[in-house]
Amino acid sequence: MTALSVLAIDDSRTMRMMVTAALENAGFDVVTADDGVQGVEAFGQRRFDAVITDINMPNLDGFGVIEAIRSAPKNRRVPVLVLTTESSDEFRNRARSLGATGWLVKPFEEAGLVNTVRIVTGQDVA
Amino acid sequence: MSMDALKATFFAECEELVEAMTEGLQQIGDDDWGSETVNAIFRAVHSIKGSAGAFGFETLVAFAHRYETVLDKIRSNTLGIDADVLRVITRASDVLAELVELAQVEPDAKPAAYDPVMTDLNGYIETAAEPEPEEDLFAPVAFAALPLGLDEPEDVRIEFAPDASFYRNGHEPERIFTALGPDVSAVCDADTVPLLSDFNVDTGYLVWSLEIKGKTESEVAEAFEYAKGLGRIDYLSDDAPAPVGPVSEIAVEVPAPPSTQAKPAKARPASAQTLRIDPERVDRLINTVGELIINQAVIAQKIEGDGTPVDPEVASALDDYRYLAREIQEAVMSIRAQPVKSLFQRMARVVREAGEATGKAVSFETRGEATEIDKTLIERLADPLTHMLRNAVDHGLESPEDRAATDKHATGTVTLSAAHRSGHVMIEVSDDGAGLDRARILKKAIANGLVAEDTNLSDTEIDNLLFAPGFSTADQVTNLSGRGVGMDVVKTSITSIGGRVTITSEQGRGSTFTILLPLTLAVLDGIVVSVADETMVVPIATIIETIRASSDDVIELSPDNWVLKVRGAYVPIIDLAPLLGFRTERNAAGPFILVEAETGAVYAFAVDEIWDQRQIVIKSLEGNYGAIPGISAATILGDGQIALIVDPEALIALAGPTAMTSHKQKVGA
Repeated sequence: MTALSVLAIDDSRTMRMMVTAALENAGFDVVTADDGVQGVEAFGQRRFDAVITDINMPNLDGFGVIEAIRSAPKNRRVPVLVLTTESSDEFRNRARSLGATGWLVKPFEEAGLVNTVRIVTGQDVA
Repeated sequence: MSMDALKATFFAECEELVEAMTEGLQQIGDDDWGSETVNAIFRAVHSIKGSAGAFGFETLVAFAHRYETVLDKIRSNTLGIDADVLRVITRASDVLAELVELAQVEPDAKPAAYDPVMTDLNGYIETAAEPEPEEDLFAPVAFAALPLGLDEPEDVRIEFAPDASFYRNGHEPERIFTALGPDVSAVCDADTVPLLSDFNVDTGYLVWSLEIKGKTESEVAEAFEYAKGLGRIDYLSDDAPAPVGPVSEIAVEVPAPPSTQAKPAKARPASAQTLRIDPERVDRLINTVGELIINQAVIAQKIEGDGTPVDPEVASALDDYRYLAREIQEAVMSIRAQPVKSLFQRMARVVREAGEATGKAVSFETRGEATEIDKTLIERLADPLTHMLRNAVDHGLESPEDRAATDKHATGTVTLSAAHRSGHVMIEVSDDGAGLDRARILKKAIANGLVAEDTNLSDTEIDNLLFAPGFSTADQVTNLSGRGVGMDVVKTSITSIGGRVTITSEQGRGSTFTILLPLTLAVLDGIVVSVADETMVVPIATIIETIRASSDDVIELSPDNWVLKVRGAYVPIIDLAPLLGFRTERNAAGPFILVEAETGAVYAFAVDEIWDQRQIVIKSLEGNYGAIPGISAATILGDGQIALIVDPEALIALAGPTAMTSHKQKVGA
């Protein structure tokens, strides 16, 4: 079975490692980017099955990442998950209105993250 | 990925984040900041909080959260930064840094300042926003949440009409349906789809009727969590009639998940930016690489040395070897060196706080922040420098009133500088205060029984009494520098890292404490030259330029006094070969290296050949061989040759008074 690829954008190295570890254990291929600008650049270079982005990042924040990805019609079907410490409704609504597929709250549970990525990518849920 | 490895990454990252936070705070303290400064501090605290939660460091998370809330207020301009706010956030940064340290050993421990700073932070958070539910910090992942409802598993029927935004946000109905499990029947009502002429691709037309068996309503709601607000979801009660299939109804079987995704390229591993290494391993590596370089030179010599033609393949492989060996050497040399910038930044706070505590207006200046020194030295300089800077503010600078009485600016200046000085790192702490009160120092020393009453001491000897154990100049111990730790402790800690500390002081003009550290491992840029048959290195820091002069420009004033004419000025020539005893004849033709002495005077070193500029590792001679006048250390060059590193200051002193007195003199002008 071929692995699905996920782009994980977070300015925290620890978070990138955790997300990478969790998803790679679950059989995903993970590419990471250190901030919004790098994330959008990485996204433009190849096809990803899903994107997970932090919100609070230097250069370009997660909202900007979502906007940039959704600005091209061909990207509208790519699931974009937000992974952040924020959990307010206002925040979710903003992410959703920009085109976020879903959100996860830090600290995340490995199983929850994997499950969510499986759902939004249409992979079989264990 | 083990938890330990993750934690190690987390703490290494925290170290960088704390540094970024400190840097931001310093900019605010210097009144040199903008919104991005506050953003950067916010992000640092936010990142610490975000990752700390994953490890269950609740005390750290709770504090970071509170601190972050205050920073957010500053960021959104609802809280301005005044002296009080700056003090609170500075202390908060301290506490956060301590919490990070503590988390490594005792995650639940709180530093002493935790509660007062927490109270201060709360003072800036409106009561309305408090108390914030702590549980929020650990809000579970939406999909990981357990069903909260008391409802028993049953059959749930819903009608789901996603609108266009549902699709635009990357959702697909079947994915959600699949997530609900195997017992789902989904029926789509296609009647809502208009004729093609009226069809708008940006509109969601389909309405699904779903029957989910063996699930509770909250479980279903959870699956539709992300679809909330992206269409209509109606829960149909059991009483409502089951959806009646219209003629155009399309039954959709929930399909198995697609398994034919294109193979993506192999992910690159998440890159780590820092690595913690046992310094001894690095030392071993540095030494081994030194041996490797020598070995490479020996092999090259054996192959190429006899002048016979070399097999091109061997020559090419040898070139590669030479190149790789140098690459390794450069990489290894850079491992331990670090700019003093981070240390200096920490010191800015020390000075600011000392100024606040003593009621003195202090301006803090730093120079040479890019100077690289061994990381272990940086760490071990923090304490002595803290003490010296506090002293400079507390004892060195006068009170604002006293300064006003003289013609000095009310704001005193404390300067911290670093520079490479011929094989040493020189760190200076200077103030523009009153200078040392030698009469009082002497009186105190006599009173303390450190010197006899009738002793006749030079100024330097009196100044050095400050370093005598148990000496304290403050008649009353102040709450700042007088903490029972004297300058003797500073001296001991500097000596323990192989350095020495000296004082110069001028009445009414201020004092300067100079720390001279050896640089056994430091990297130095130098120009490789030949002097007689010796290969030597002149440190680049002192060099102004290199000159190949015509014989007309070299003028003999007297047999021991030659000068070089450089753009109309006359610079004394110091001929290195006779000076160092390599030969007796003069070298009047150069080439010359113009160096600037600490006094600002310029001298021309005559050498036989100037080769190239390179980075070298300094190897101490004193420990292995003994001190040589004019030479500070040695190095191993890329070709395995040993080269001596000259000490320009010492050479100038060695050249004697002739050279000393004639600098920059205009002759006949």
